[in-house]
Amino acid sequence: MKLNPAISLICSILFSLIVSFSRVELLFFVPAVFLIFLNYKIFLKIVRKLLLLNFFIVVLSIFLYFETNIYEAINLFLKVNLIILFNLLLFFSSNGFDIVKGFKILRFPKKFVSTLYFTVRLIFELNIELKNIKNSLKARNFKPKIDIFTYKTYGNIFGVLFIKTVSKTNSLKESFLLRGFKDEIFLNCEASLKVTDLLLLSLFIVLFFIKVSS
Amino acid sequence: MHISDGVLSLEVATVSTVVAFGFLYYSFKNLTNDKIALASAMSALFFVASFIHIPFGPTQIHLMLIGFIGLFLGSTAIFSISLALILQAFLLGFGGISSIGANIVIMGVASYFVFLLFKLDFLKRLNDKIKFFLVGFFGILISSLTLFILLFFSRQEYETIAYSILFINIPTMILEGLVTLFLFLYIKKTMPNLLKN
Repeated sequence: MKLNPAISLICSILFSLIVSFSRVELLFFVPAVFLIFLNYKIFLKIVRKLLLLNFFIVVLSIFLYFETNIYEAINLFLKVNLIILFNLLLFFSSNGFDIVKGFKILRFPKKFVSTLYFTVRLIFELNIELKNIKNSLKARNFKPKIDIFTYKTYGNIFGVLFIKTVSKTNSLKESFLLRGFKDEIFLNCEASLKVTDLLLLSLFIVLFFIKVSS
Repeated sequence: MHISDGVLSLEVATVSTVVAFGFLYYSFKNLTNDKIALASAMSALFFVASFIHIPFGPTQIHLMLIGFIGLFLGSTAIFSISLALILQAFLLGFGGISSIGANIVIMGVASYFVFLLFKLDFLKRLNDKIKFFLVGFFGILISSLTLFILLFFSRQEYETIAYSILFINIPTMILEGLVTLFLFLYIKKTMPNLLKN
């Protein structure tokens, strides 16, 4: 993540709120273009992900087209895509811990930050576990079909994941209790602002004033 | 089941956010120190479940384990699922920020409702297999109904899609019920002490 996580969170929330409840304007593309400039190396990957997320939006826009008119459908399509693109540009290279740090800098409750931290950590471990399970299924030539055996296999996969999570959670809990854990998790949070952070914030202030004055 | 930013009307988004934050506050208050680890575990499980796609008819469905999480965590499930929703919105682009309240109501609150439902006497008396199936089934049923209500009241133009989504989610309800049934049976076989309460 190239930006300060707290600034990213604030900008993401503001952008989503402003664009969600307005009609699409050219002005809204300015912060997105700025972020494209910062992420030009991974932009194609982001676009690919955006396209994958488009199924529900396209269906909704088609429905809206038949119920109202083409302008409403295009407005919704652009609006939703612009917000998702903006958020992907902000957090695509994030590993999840940045978001935890962002919430910590913004002084969210200690319990909230601790639980979020443990969640991100467990997601990493579960992902590794899931990869191993998928590999062992491949090795056994398991091919998912529409039958009870497949659903039982998936039920068992979730069972294995759940039990492994519980045991990992217990060891995590014990190690933290030994370290004297009381609600709060201590993270190394750099709250310094870079030029890019200030530029993005300035863009938002300008955008906000233009929206309010109009 | 996630609603993206910009889909809901301002009124529906505001009301759902207020309702969600009310429940979230209640859930957060009940989150004790010793529950933090389990809440995180369930949150992680909810997040990872979205990566597992299971074939069902001509389509593929991903599970949410809403009922399962609700039954294990009670009111804490709302907070646990909310964290996963926040991470999904930022990291994966599922759902959104302005619609986070709506998504918490759809999935988090629905999860708690499953817990409340299974406290009723007549459901407690059911055969284990039927009960396990219904945990998964009710989770998606309540979520789909909430999604339907939110879309229906958001814009008149969404009426058709609201009904369609309710209809489309019927296979998901059955599949979630089936997988939850096998999930519970697996836990019952391997770690029965987890199901004691």
